[in-house]
Amino acid sequence: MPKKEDKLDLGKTFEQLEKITTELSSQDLDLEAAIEKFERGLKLSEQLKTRLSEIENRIETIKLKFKDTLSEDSD
Amino acid sequence: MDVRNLIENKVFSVSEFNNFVNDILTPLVVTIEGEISEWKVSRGNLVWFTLKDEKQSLKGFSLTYRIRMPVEVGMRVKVHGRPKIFGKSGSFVFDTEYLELSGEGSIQKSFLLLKARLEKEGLFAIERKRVLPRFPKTIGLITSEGAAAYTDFLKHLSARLGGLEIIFIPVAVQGKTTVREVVAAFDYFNRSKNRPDVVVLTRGGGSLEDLQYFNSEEIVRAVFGSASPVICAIGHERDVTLCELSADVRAATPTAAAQLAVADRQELLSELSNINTTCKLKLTKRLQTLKHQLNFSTQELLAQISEKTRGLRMVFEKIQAAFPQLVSHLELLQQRAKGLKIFLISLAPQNVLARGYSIVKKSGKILKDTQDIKIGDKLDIQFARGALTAGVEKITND
Repeated sequence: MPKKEDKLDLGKTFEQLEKITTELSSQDLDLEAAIEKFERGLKLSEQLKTRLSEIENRIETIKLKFKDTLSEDSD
Repeated sequence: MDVRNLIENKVFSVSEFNNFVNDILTPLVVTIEGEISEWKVSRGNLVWFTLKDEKQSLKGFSLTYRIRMPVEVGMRVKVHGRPKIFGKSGSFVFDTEYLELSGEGSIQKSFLLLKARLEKEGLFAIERKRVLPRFPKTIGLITSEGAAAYTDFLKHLSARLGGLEIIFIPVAVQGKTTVREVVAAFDYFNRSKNRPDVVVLTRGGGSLEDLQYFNSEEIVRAVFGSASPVICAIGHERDVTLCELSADVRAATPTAAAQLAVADRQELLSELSNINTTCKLKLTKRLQTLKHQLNFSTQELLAQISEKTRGLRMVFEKIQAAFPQLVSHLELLQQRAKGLKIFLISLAPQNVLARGYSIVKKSGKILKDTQDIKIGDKLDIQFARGALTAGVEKITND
């Protein structure tokens, strides 16, 4: 399993893809830039597919120490 | 027996006696069930009450922070603590460390009282609910280890999405330590550097008494005050606990909590596929538009070139038509020039001399008047061919 910091950020990547989709509608974008964006979109999409193919979840158990109720409260 | 012998002849002071009795009594930690017949809070934090059964009663004491739910006269409770003589007043009192409601009626009544109070305070207000992050990376899980809720939640979570980090804090979900442990878990997450993007508090179904801990004011406040948004799934769908009301999102079951916590990978893949299709369509449309534009521009250009060529051709044709006329005009001009040339040539002095005229000069100057000469002058006469010098003998002025 990759380290947390190496992991693809699902939220940010989806956001980037949605931005690309919007930008592709803009007539101000010249064709060369549009193709570049499209290719970037394809790449992000592939990365997302790889990320979504992960099955395992990492579980870290934190055992807190609880004081005994009665002994703590006794006067 | 030994103690009896020791105290048989001993005279105690009041304080000594009270302390002696307390030494014997206070190690006796017991639980007593009964009905509250009197309930009074003094100085803001001291609770004085009377517990009774059909025949007898018992004075009780506690502190407000140890009582985790609203208590009223008539409620059935279980008190956990130790008997004690309060030295100053000399009264025999049950010092209560922990009180729990007993019987559905009491629990229900306490629940409604607390619910009304917290609702008034705004702990369940809709406008205070936070939106859950769509893509949490870290999920805090508070539940009992090995319980069905734990397994169900994790199983359904993994079925939906992988690559998540789950920080699990095992806590008691029933029994008197529940409240303290759950509150401590929230406190841990609030202070944690790796604060979860969402916290899930869950436990499976149980009796009303089992679930009552999740109606405690402390847990309700811990859920409400959590730094991370909270999903609460306590008991079955029909059981609504107060902590679920104070949560940002209530889930009916642990499975539903997993569904609310993370997006489903199949849905995300399908969304991804839609995005890709949209992008392709947009680019294709763009290319088609450009193709149309190109076709249009080419035709436009061809039309413009054809128009320009037509103009040139017209000029050319005009020139072509005018050419013979121009040639004849030129010939006429040439003929006229030739005549003029002949005329000009005929006017040249040499040609005049050839026709029999002579040029008379005196000292190199051409003479035009007899006034300029006198008898005896030497004059130079030039002919068409040859020249001579002659003397003037006679002058006639005509």
